[in-house]
Amino acid sequence: MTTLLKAHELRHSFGATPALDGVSLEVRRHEILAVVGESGSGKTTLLNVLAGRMNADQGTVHYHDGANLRSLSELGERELHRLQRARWGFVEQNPRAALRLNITAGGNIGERLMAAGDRHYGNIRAIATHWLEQVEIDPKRLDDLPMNFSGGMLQRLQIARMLVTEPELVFMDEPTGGLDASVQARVLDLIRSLVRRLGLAVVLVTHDIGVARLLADRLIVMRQGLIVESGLTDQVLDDPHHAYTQLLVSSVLPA
Amino acid sequence: MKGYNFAYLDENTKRMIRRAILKAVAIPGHQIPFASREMPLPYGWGTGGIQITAALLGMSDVLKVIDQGADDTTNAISIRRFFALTAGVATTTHTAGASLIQTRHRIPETPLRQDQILIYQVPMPEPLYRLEPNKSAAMRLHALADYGAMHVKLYEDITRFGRVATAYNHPVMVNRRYLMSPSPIPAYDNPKLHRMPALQLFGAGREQRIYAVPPYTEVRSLDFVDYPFHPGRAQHNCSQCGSDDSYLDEVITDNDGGRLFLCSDTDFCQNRQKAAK
Amino acid sequence: MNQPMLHARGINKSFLLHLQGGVRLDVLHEAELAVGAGECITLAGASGTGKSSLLKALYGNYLVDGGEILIRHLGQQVDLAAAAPELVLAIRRTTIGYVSQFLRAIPRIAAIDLVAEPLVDRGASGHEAKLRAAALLERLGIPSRLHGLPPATFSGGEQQRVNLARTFICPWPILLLDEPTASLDTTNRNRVIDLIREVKSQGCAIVGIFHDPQLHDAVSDLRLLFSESTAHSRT
Repeated sequence: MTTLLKAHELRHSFGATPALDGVSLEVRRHEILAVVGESGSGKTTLLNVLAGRMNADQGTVHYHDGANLRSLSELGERELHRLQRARWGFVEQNPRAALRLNITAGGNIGERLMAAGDRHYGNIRAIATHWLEQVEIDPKRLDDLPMNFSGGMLQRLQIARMLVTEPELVFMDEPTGGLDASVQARVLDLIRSLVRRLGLAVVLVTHDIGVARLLADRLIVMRQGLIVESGLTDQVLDDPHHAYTQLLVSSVLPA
Repeated sequence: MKGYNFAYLDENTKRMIRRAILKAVAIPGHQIPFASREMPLPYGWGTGGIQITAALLGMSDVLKVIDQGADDTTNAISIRRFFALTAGVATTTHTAGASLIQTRHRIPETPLRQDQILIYQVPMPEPLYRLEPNKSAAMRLHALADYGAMHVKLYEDITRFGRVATAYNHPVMVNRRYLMSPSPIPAYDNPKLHRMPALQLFGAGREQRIYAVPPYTEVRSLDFVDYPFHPGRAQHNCSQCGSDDSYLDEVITDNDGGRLFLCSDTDFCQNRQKAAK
Repeated sequence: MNQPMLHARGINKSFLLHLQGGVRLDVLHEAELAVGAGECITLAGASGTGKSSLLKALYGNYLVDGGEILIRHLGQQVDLAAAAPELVLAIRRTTIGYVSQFLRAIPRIAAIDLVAEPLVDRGASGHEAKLRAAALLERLGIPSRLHGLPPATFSGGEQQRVNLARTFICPWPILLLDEPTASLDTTNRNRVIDLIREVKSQGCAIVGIFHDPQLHDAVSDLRLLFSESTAHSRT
């Protein structure tokens, strides 16, 4: 299995507080890697560094460009931007942060295509329609403004907007964090089936162990900027070794 | 005029502006910041254009100033008089006879030549400002040539109105690299920007930016393959000179719906009228 | 038995419970087990003697402290106990199937899609997978009117049969079964027995925990009796 992303000894601190204290990991093609941990454990910082949204104080992130592993820090800003806009995707917890609410659903989905140089209005609409269907939004909503969409629909629209360039690696930050339980199930199911169908690799940050169990192949447990435990998702959750993981698992209310 | 330097601005300021102009010419369509000076006219009246004109004027130049095509509006007359007083240069209303033309919101109908310079007054130099109000973020988008958002705006126009709805200030790509605001000229004038023999300079005084389109540069209006850019004009003839291909102003003549159309370019219209006599 | 499909030996497993003041529970001590193709071994013994722990270790769900779990995977022998996560996942995709006591229901997915999913993952067309899923559900006594519903609302027995169908829809060289008939009535238990016998006759190596004596008698070849902290006495 190809390694898509490889982080080595990442260190970063905010003032005196270490957010990453020597984190190394690999993400392979077609796998879903969940990062769990409490607030302040460094998981969001890790996600931002992996996605090239911020630079760590120390350490390296390499990505696979199809032929070789290349360091993100060697990329020019333009190349990094292109990577982030085409071959990678990012799903924010709050879809309002990623979407343009005063632009139609079709315009939102089409933006990455237009940025990549698609100049055919009819094409863009056809592709946008396709992706609306993929995320189970009625194609009749193509010309509607997202400000009239429900929370779950907004999150699905954000996913469609991100998937339109058919990325190979997607970063997700609590993708169902702001949703009602019933809506959450639907979005999770959607992510799960899209990921399988499209063969995506995903780095998923969540504090919800249930989400991690449902979606992830592998799991990383973080605490105070360190990976305290990692392995197969069900193995880590069913046979946790580290004291913190045991606490985390035992703190979940049974459904 | 006594007490003032030639063409009002001091020589150091002119040199600063000329350096900005040279930079702008070297990077077509890219906005160059400059230390815009207070001018004896309010922002929005052409403080950017007037500073470029002041920096470029020489003794032998002949200056023409138009406001929406007309030589005889307050703004055009005041700027023309300003330079006649402070620089003592010759002024004209004839497009063909001018070496420098300062304009607000129009390109003259008469094709310009290599030995002429067209200076635009620009209220808002940043074509992305409605889409990305954060200036540093907008600069980043320029640096990355990421203009997807601009096309999103055109996409929205077509979706809502069935066509691209910008009638003026329609954004252009300069030399296939920078997205540029052509200043609020009518879309009808956009094709004239493309490969124009004259040097085109754009000055925004309040926003402190200068940008340029060097002679014969490729300037393309943004559009879609299946919705090509379409410069529109009123489907009428000029009521004065009869022109059927110039850009027309619509004038309401009474309270009963009476209206007439006439050329926005007054010099062009008068020349045609003279020729017809 | 010349070459076992699955051979676990020297298996040690203990749990260190940090939250209970660092109590250490030794669950498996030098456990050994070998099962060949077409063979079925039952793990028996009182509760808390480590049957389930061993079964979970054989699936890579529990991490063992020592020993090896040799598995014939795609014609090669691999040690599951030392395998990297992606190899464990690959083994679970094609070599080892596992039926837990409870269906971990994924919300909102129809029973038939849930059952068809492993086939689709192996490359079958959606249509074909659904046909086979429907047939298997029928065979296990789940009426077709329930096929389109998510199993979260099903009874315990129905959920258990969906769970069985989800595994039995694919052929597995090795199957691990954890009380597959715990909440089933006689009719349905017999259906499951038929199914297990069928895969067994096709060469599947089975390790199971069967509290149900009838199920045990019907399918088991060998009984491994677990006592406190050990698992190597045979009857």
